[in-house]
Amino acid sequence: MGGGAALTEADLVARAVQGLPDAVEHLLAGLRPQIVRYCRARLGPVSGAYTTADDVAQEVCVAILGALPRFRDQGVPFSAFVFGIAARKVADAHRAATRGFPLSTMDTVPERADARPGPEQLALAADLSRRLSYFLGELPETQREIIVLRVAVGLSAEEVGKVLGMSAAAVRVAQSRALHRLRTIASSLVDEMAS
Amino acid sequence: MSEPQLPTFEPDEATLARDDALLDALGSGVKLPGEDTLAMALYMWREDLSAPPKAVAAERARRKKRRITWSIIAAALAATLGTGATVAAASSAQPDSPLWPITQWVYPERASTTSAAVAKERIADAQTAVDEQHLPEAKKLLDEAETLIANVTSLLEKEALMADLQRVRAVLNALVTGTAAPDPAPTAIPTPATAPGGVPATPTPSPAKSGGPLPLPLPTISLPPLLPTILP
Repeated sequence: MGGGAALTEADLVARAVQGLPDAVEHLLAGLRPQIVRYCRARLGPVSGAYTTADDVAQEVCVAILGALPRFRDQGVPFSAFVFGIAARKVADAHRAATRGFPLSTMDTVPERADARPGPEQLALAADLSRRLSYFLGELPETQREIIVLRVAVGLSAEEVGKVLGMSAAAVRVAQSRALHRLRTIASSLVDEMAS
Repeated sequence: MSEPQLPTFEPDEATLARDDALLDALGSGVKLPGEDTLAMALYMWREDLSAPPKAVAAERARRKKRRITWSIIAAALAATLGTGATVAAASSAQPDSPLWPITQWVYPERASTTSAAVAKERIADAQTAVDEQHLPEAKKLLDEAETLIANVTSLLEKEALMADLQRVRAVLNALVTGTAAPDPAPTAIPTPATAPGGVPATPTPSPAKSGGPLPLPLPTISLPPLLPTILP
């Protein structure tokens, strides 16, 4: 649009869909960090590193590139298009992992709270954050996806609603339920450390 | 899973608004003031997810050491005064353990020895991976080994490990680029100059004293006597 002003996402998407190389590159460069965080959040670390998740993120980028020309036909908002693809690729990776070697989440389970850091909240929060991928697995699928999209990716409640095909209000109720559940888990961790 | 079905939580308006604001802030990577453990944990989690994709392990180790470890060390040491169990665990921690940063900080020698041993394993595994043509795996193992070698304090040991690593990496690079394998002699060891004979030629005083050239950051307090009794 006007001179050197930044393009809106809609403009950028429109140009990228037409196949303008600069626009495609720009669009993917902007999306990549979100996609990486999404895949890492969903797949968790393996042996302390996110190599597997990063490989999947790469595949998601390639898949988006391939599907971009067909974006218009799908009649969904762009974030729904992107994270729909990402969710499918992550599901593929999970399936592949259950056939082969175990992936992700279990990685963090045996890591129990060592000794007793006492009431030190940071230590507790650090412990909780390391095991978060696992705890998210205990949430209903929709709630887990909402937390990942809200926190890891950084989408708004409205955007998440479009990705998951629900109203923003329903997203807000579900996210509060998810946080409530996670808080319950957090407080049971405190008890575990204190006992 | 095996838990009884909990009654569905029905959030009120205030809770909905507060949680929504919290998630908005976390989603944009903003650190929130306050005492909410879950908010802190989600913030740390997001930070972890945002680490640069390559050399993640090294970067994580470094960042963790700076930011979080201080509090963990403080907490762990505080607990230690009562139990001693953390010290024992930290002193025997492996590089992938949550206590590893403490080991590195409090027990640099032990961290060095453990790092050297694990690095050696990684290099051997990388060699096997190269033999079996699992090249990305081999590269990953070599990168991990390189990170570990940085913890090794003995220059001689470090040099030997780097030479091993470079040898495997040269073979790997040759396979990746498809060119003929170059002379396996280690060409670019980033450690102090080694004379062609493989003997340290520079008059550095280091090898004479096996403890390495770096002074230990801590006067090892009086904890070590505890360790042998607890360790297997």
